[in-house]
Amino acid sequence: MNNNDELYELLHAAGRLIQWALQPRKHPVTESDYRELLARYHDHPSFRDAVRAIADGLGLHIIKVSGFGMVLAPSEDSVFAVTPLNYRPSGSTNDRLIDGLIQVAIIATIYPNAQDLEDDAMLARPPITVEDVEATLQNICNQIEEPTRRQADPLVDDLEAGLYEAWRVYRDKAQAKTTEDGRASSATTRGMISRGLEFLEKQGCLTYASRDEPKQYRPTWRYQTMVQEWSAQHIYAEVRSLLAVPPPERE
Amino acid sequence: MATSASPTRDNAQFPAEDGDPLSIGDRISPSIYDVASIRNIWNRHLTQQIRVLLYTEPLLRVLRSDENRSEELEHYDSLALALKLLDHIVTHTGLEREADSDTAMRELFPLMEAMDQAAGVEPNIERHLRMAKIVLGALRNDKEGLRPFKRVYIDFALGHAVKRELAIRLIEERYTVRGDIVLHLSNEATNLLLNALAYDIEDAQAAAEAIVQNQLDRGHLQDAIGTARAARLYSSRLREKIEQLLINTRRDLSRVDWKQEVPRILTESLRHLESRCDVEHNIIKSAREKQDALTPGSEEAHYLTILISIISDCRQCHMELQQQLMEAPQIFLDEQERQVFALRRRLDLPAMLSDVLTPLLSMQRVVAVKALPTVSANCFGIRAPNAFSLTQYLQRLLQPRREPRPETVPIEEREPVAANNDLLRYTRDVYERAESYLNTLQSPVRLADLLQQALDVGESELTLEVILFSVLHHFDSNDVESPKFLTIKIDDEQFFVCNFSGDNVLICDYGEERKNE
Repeated sequence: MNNNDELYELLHAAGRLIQWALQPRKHPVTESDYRELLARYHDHPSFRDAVRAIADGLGLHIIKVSGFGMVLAPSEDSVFAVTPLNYRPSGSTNDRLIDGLIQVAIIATIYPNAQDLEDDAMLARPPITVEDVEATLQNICNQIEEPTRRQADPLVDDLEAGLYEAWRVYRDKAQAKTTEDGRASSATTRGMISRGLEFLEKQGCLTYASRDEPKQYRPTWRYQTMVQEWSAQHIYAEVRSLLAVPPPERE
Repeated sequence: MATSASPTRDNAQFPAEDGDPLSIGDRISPSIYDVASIRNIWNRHLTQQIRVLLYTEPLLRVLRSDENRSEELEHYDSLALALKLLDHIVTHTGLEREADSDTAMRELFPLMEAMDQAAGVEPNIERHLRMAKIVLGALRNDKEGLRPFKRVYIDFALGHAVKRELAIRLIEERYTVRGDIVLHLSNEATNLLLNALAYDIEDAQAAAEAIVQNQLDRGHLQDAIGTARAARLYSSRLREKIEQLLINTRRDLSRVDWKQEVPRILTESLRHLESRCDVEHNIIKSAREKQDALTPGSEEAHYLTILISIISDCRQCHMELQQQLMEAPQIFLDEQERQVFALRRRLDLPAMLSDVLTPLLSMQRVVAVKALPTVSANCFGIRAPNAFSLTQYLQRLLQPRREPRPETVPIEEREPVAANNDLLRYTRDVYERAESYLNTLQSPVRLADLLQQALDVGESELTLEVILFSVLHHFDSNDVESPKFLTIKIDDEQFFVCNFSGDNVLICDYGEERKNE
């Protein structure tokens, strides 16, 4: 085997490992090829470098590699990242904002305290329900709203300029709504939370702990690793950077 | 700063009126008034009153819409219906079966029927339902997707007139633990309904109980019961507030302000409860005295029993709450001890609730939206995009339709058979054997003889059972689906064959019987 063939084989195997990692439902226990590639990643520095380089070029961060698989996270501009538009192709900016708040609330419900993020990702976190996530958001909205009750209502000019707080957007959305035929509407905060949880289930981030109503979702090792090692800190950094910028003023 | 001694008046445009220079019709050039004077004229109390009045606006709008309603619905007074709806919801709040839209709407039917009668209109359930939906929809703001009603009003801040927007929600739909959707009143609507809008919950309860005492003294017992129910609602609200505080403390001590706010709330609540317990004790005492003076079983005595029961509930709730309040400082100390020795967190790890979600929700919307790409990229995980392939697409379009080619794969004709998974006691064969006896009767025969006949030729016990059950099944003489035989009981003769016994009925050929008829 000449050098070119070796290089080709190395890159080909590196690409295959990334492809396995891009399929969140695939598990090394059941896929021998995946298992062997993971072992190679651990044992051969040159292979590790190749995988890292390719992942980097694709806009992917390797968060963790273990016997349970390889966990990747996309950079914001990566084609592998789910954008708000991908998640909700039709919908208003307010709906997308609520979707984002719900995703953060899901993490906050699973990890309410900073100490929880330090736990071993191997320890399964307790399952959550739509009600739990709703309660997390409602409680915070109530806490924020409480002092504003004694303050003046927002100015119409500010509202028109979009200068009102995000919690008002969430609060304005109905929690529950009955449709004409008596079913629960999906255009409610509960419906949106349910959609967010189902999406994460399809992404291999959550599994059903119970399919009976109320459905219970348990975070997978992959999701726990992603949140603990990567997402929580990056979202936190983004929030801090936004807080550092002085709030926009009405012109 | 002071106002100008002689304000300029545009007399040509706005002729002066006698008396007060600020009376209607007067317009004074704004330049003559400074900020301080506006502040003196307008105080926050007036803003509060505007807000209170605006909360009634959606209700009044329902009333106004009566004029534009179709002819068949215009005799309904929607304000009365709306108030009944709100009252129904508030009286069922917190009970095991809370009000849902169906039960709430049905509550309006008797009222609408009365309105029909008053207007000389024939009551119609479909019309009632339509009107009830209109009223409920108007209160929920169905037109705007159950969002709050938005009302703009003028306020005077820092000496300037500014427009503000008030978000008003009257009814909201909530899920119960069982997953049903029930109707709830917003706090403001509850306060509006219970005439306590301008008070804190503690004050409102004091007022409610004072009203109960007053109504009791004046003998307005039914009114007193209504007011007592309102007082009970305040009690449960106060308890919810304190319980939430303790839950938050147990969850994360740092999220609750135990330095200033909580001690203040605890002290105020304790003081409030002490006075409430005294007042409630007095109400119960005077109600019992009144009850003793009444004839047992009278209507008034009955009302007083209800009233005593409600106020006792309040008292019980307050005493339990008092216990909780007294234990609260210890809970704080215990939690402090427990949580202070929790592992020190890594400095770069955020508390997702307090460090991320709360600031995100508190941010201005336009700022929070900027965080969306980061949130999405970090929360949803990875997803391999579906790449579009023009070649594959063209191939698919040009691909000829797949025709079925039966000659390549022989398709075996299948014969559908009725089947199920039940394990049958009697096989088809047994049925057929039994039917052969019953369908080929030459002459009327007694059941015992027929069974004996079957037994003699060596039929199994199962076949005898089927013969018996068939006879029993078709015993009804009016059975038009009866097969070829007819079962008639002609006397009280009994039979005993094998292990079977009973009425020895006569079995005859059905066609023969009909001929005879």
